[in-house]
Amino acid sequence: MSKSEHPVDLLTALARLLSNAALREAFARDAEKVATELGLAAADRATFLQLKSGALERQARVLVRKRFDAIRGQIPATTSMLGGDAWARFQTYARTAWPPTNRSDALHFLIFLEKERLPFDAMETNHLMFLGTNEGFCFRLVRQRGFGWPVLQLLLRLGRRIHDWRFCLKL
Amino acid sequence: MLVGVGYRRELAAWIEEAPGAVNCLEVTAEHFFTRDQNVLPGLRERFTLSVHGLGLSLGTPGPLDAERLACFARVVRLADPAWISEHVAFTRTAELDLGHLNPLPQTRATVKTVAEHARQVADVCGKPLLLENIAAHLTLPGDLPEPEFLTEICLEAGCGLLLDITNLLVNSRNHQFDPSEWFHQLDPRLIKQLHIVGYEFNGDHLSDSHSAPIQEELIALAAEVVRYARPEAIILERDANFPDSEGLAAEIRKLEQIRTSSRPSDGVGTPPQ
Repeated sequence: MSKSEHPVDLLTALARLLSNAALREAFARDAEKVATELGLAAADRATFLQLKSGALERQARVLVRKRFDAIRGQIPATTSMLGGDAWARFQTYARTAWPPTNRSDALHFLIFLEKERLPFDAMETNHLMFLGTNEGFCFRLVRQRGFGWPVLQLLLRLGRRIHDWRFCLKL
Repeated sequence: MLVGVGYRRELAAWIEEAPGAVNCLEVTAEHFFTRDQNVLPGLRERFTLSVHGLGLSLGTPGPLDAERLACFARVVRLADPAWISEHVAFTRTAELDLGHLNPLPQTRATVKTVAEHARQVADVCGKPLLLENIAAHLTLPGDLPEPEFLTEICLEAGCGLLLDITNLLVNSRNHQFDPSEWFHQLDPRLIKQLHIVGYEFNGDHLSDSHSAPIQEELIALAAEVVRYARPEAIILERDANFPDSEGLAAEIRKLEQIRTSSRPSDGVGTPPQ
């Protein structure tokens, strides 16, 4: 299927720009080239080329901030561990990641932090992963960085409620 | 004119403890899609309600998201509001949900898309619909100035306008235009409701963080709009950094100030038709 058979409309192209920092950088360097690579509809090309890079960046930043505000309540321990760096770390993660739901956004952020060897709460990862399953319960043994004792985490689903118990295995 | 707040979990205790402080609540539909729906019947017994949407994405070409619309309509049924509202914006495309409001090209084609979707929402919900102007750092070139764009949509969709005073002021500063001149281009009969909350100054631009106390210039602009258009409700739209009871009372007094400074004798308004 060629690009000309199904050209991309203006809002689709704009959404791709707003959700992808690398694409915005490419747009700032050469908007014509990005329009062609996206397969933009001819009727939308002139409008697309008039978009201002600085304004795109500011709008994209607003969107990322809304995402951050939406997920940080789901991962309070991790947010607390990251302290003043939390927003900057999230911005780095969000350069190209755009998961479809707040839950998966929070989960992918934790996975990013783990990969980057940055502070995160593994029990919050377990909790979010459990939320995405249909399991009735699960156990996880967690060894938190900088915390001496392992923790046994029990997740239990009762109706629509999730119970999350944590037992410190202090021997 | 009704004076109220956007209902948030964090404000629930204050609303319970201060009966009479407000006579109107705006509930955000998305907050009730999967939880807290049992709260709505109690609220509707005591307050005039409106249901406000964030994610119907009226500006996205093609059909509305049927599942979202069904969820929205369900909240409307439970809340039985006097009116409903949404934004003139897009939040998603066929391939991506951006999760927040983004501006639309101000063209006749967009007018047609938004108006068609707005009519559908009003029909499905069986309630009068108001459409809201958004704050945006980005402007998309188009053939209509924003006031004309909004007016055409409202006329074609047969709905009213929810004028967000903060969004107007923020846009006017960031894009350098006169907010007073801007709203005077609107038909005053279209303006049925106002939103207001303090803005934040972030270095070189203003933002609508919904987390600050209302500033004096917003009060002045809102009073000017009220004198011009006589809207029927004003809602404090605070989403974060919630003040204590005293702080909330102070914010409501500002809304009362807007109401009383604009009209010498004012009864309780009627819902927008």
